[in-house]
Amino acid sequence: MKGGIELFQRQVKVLLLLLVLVASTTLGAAEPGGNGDGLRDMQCGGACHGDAGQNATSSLSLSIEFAEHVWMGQPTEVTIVVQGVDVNHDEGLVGLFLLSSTNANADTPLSDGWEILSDGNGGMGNYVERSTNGSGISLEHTWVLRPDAVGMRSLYASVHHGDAGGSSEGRPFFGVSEAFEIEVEAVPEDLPRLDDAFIPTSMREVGSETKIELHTAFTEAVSVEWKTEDGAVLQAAVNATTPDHWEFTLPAALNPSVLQWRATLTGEGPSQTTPWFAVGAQISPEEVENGPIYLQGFAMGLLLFGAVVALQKPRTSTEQSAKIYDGTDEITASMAESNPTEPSSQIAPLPEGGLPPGWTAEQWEWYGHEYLAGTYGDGQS
Amino acid sequence: MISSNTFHVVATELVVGAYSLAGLAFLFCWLSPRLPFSLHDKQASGDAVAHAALMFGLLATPFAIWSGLSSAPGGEMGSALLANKMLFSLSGLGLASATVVVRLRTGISVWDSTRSSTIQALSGGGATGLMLLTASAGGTFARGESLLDWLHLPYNETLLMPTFLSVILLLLGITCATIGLRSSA
Repeated sequence: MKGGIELFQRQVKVLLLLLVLVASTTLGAAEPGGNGDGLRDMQCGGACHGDAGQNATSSLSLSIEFAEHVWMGQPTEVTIVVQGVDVNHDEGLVGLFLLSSTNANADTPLSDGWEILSDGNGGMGNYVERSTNGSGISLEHTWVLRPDAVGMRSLYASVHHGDAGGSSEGRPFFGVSEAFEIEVEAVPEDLPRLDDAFIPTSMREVGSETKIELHTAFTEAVSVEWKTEDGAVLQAAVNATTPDHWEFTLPAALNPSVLQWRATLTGEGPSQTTPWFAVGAQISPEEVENGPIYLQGFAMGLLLFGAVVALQKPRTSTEQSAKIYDGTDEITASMAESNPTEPSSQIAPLPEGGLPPGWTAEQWEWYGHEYLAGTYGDGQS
Repeated sequence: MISSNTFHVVATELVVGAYSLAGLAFLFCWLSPRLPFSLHDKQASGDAVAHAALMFGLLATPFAIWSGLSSAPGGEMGSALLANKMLFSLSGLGLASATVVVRLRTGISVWDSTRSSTIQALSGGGATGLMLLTASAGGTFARGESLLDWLHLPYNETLLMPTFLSVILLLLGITCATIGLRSSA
């Protein structure tokens, strides 16, 4: 009964400990390292900060800026402006979404007739992550989009971030802007413009120059300027190859960085300046062949398996028997050495009438116990 | 239809959970004779937990590897980080298999001597460590962060041996395994 009570008390203590551990966890937490740029719905499949049951409302102010005229089939800049950075929270890293709706799914600009030509970081997604270090209280990020039809379109800005300090440390924050209406217009007939099928280069290797070919329409001259991350703007030499075909070369990057370029197109119609197109430079990881990796993996696994099995091999039956007999021999030898001929020191006590009839004293010394137990001579004493 | 990405997440959660439990139980089994209070007589329970969890982890590991390959960009190991994941997981698989095989052949007496108990705890704990390294590399690949970031492990560098050296190691492993497995016959 007492043991049962002690067991119950012990179980209650374990249960209380588990409850304390469960209660000490938080329902949700920001991912301070971010998730990387990409093409994502606002809710991220529940993996980010979009779950209304877990996030807190961000105090950041969000707005979207865009060009006065947005032409169908022509690249255009769309900029998200974030105000209030590092005022109420220590964000550290913010994730910016450019969305076409707030449905939480199928809400990227691709779902509403936009094409993303550049995310400003060398990618082509609607989600980017930006560090707030050194950004001041405002942060801007620009995408290059291309609409495929005339009409009114809505765009939203959304932000995900955490808080590295204060009472909200580790909490996930989420914010979304109001809708910004953009009118996509038909292109005027003689407007100098890029070909509708133009896809800008968004990524290249460090250390290699990049030749860009432009296909234009209604264009008589093209000038190109480019800038690096420090902001210095330089001119690139543009060569006309055939009518409405132009090419220029961007210099090689010495390290992973982003370079931007834009072109000014001149013709009979009003001159047009394209958005800044971002070209990221990266060092691609060395290609790895599958075969040698599999072989090495199996070799390492089998070597470890063999090493442990060999080290832990059980003793064979012969070895075990030998050990048993060895012990017996030692004991026997030890007994023989102590007194090989002497009978047991504990001689059976004589019966009341003295030695049984016909027994000698020496016989009693050796077989007296059996006589008393009634086992001497198969019980016929 | 469940995608290979989601299946990989499920499989790796099972693997990491099982191996973590096994690792803690192996540590307990090794420490239990040295514990000053009554926990040392719970070694048999720890042994059962350690090896049962390890066997469960072993069953789930091939699914995690297969789904990981299916969900990798391009369906293959395109980077050193993914190659490291494959090397860690196959090594962990070998170590965990050996630990279970030794336990099945030796029984509970594997904890009787200091030598065999230390090797058993090291192999079980090593398998756990390799699987946690694999999971950490996966976290770095998918989310850019992981539990072991504080170790600053060079996941993007892999030590790829020449093919002939891999073949030699493979033959050495087969020889060791044959010797170890034949000795009980």
